Amino acid sequence: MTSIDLAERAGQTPGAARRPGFTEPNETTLAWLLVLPSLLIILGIKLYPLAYSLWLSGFKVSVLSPVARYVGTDNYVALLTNPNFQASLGRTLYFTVASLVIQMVLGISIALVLNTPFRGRTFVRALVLLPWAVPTVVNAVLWQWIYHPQFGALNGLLNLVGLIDQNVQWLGSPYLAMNMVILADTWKTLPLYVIMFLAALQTVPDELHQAAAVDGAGFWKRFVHVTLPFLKPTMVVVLVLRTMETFRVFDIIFLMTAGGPAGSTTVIGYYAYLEAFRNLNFGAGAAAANIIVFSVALISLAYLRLLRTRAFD
Amino acid sequence: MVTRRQFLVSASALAGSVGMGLHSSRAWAAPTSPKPSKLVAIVTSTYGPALEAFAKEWTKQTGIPVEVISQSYDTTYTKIVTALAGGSATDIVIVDSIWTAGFVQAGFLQPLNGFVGSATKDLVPVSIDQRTIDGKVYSMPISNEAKFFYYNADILKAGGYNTPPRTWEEAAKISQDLKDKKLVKHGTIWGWQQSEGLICDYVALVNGLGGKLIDDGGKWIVNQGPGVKALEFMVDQLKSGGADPSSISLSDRQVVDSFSAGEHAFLMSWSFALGALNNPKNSKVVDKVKLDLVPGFASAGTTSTSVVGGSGFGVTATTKAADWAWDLIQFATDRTRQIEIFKIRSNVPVWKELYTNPAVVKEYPYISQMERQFEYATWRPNIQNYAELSGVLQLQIHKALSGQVSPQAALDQAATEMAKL
Repeated sequence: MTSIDLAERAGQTPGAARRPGFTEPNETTLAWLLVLPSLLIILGIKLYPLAYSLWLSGFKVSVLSPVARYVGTDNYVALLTNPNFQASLGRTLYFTVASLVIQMVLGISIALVLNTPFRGRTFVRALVLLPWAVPTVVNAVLWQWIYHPQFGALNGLLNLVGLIDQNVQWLGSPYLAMNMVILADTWKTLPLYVIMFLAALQTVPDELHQAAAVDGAGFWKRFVHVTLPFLKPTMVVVLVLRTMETFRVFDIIFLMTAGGPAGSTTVIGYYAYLEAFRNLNFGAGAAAANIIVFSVALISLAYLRLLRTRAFD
Repeated sequence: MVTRRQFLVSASALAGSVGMGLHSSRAWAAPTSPKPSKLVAIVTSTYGPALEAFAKEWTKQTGIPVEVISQSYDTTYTKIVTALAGGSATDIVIVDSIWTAGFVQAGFLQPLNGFVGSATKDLVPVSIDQRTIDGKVYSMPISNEAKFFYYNADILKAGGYNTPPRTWEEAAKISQDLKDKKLVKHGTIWGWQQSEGLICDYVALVNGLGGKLIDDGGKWIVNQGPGVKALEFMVDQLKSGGADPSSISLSDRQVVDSFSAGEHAFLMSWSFALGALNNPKNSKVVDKVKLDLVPGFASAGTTSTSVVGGSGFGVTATTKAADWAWDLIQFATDRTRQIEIFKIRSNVPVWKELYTNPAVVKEYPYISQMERQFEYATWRPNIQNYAELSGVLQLQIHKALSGQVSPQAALDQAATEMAKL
């Protein structure tokens, strides 16, 4: 597009747009001028904090004694060799893998059910989407009450049907707490999976299913060979998005368990928070946060390389 | 939670307080320095509604507006540190006793000796002592806090007990007896979530066993003698069923709600529990709960134990209106308003005379008993990086409480890690 085209599009004649002493910018300059406001915002709120965080992670700095000392990669080495941090990394991986597997399987299953015609389908679809509208804070408090050891609905229900005779410490047992948080997170995020897969299912041509059925393929074979290839691009998108979210999970942990019991839900997002905002070691906190960023970036790249070819080719 | 509205509504009670012989009007001269355009205060939500209500009155007198930034307790420390380190214009901050050393080290607070003057002698010693470093007072206490012993008198009476236990050993026996009689499922409920409240109870129990966390040379000794015995006691309580297993997932605030259901005999909690447990809106134990001295340990020959806390108002080092900030603090912590706070939140007053004022004692009979508790109370260490050290101890104690490691192993690990910090 030339500058004359631009002026014409604006409803002006080329001559009328010019003023004495005013030189029209060339196309490249104009493009830079147009993107400059967005660029400044991105630089200001994304790149600068990221660069500052990288810089900060090279220092030993505490807010309580603000004399920064350059320590190079010491903060990273200290974290990666710290058993507590290693354990929190392991918990994060568990949270991520378990959440993704459970949510992916449930999401596809529910989408398949909602894709088949039945009476009241629209109502059920709306109902399934409802938890997505619940803010994370509300969701966390809601499930905290459901799991309450004394008054919780879950213990009440299990007592009622005779499955337990003593209240279970859902968030008080190191072996249970993380799984219960995953369940609460699943309830909240499942609608994202369902709606994405439901949309993808609309793209599967009926003829393919009919042809496969004529060839004698059963439900499972049709799902694997007909439906699944159409879902793979969506799976990549959902996996990348949700891996990022689950790997840096913080809010639901902060609200439901505060990293306990016995540190069993201290994921690296929460570890970074404690380091930066409780211990006020901003250098180490920044290093922990950067490790999350690097990890998520690596995992996302790996997904894209592994799945993209199979999904799109 | 007490709202600002409730505080405003209860302002009428000021008249009653005046009747107790206290002064509600200002008995001091206003500063002569130029008035600031406004004052900014960062406080916990515990005191937010009170300060807002008091500040409104103060603004009427002085014409200076006050912006009160109120945060939940768990986020206030971070808010204050980041605000002051980042150079935000803040004049007054709330200072929990365990934050004092860190804030002073960071240069956030200015000494208040010039403002408080000789009034320190009128304050309950524990109120002011834990806010004083090297002879300098860094915050004006707004409330005294300690752990008190609450017991459900109805349950005890049904079990044949007319007096509360004097020692934790006796409490364990009574708990077992009440369980055998099917009066309770568990005798005691604690707030032992992995948080600061857990450390408060641990410190009180170590003190009750005649020990402390740090020796005179500054070395952590949690893994020796009373430090280990206290954690063994806690673990035994959970294993034997004397303590409700829910304890390890409840905070020191949530546990008050649990006790208010009327299913437990004993609770060790802060002063606010007195008001919460007697609030008919949320509690089933109104008028059934009584307050007494926290038991001691027969094995250690101690009469009682407790741990103090409480908050004060500090004036920031960067404020340009220190004398006006102090004027507001003086206004908000005067004797009449202390009674207001005690009445609404049952936060114990900081002025000595209130504990013996006949009218006050008549209206709040527990106040004398609460004062006695302070005699047996200890402090948590007042050190710069307390929050980080406490975090290490919380994690290791919780590992022992959840049965992952033995008390000795947990505290050995804690002592090793804390020595490095």
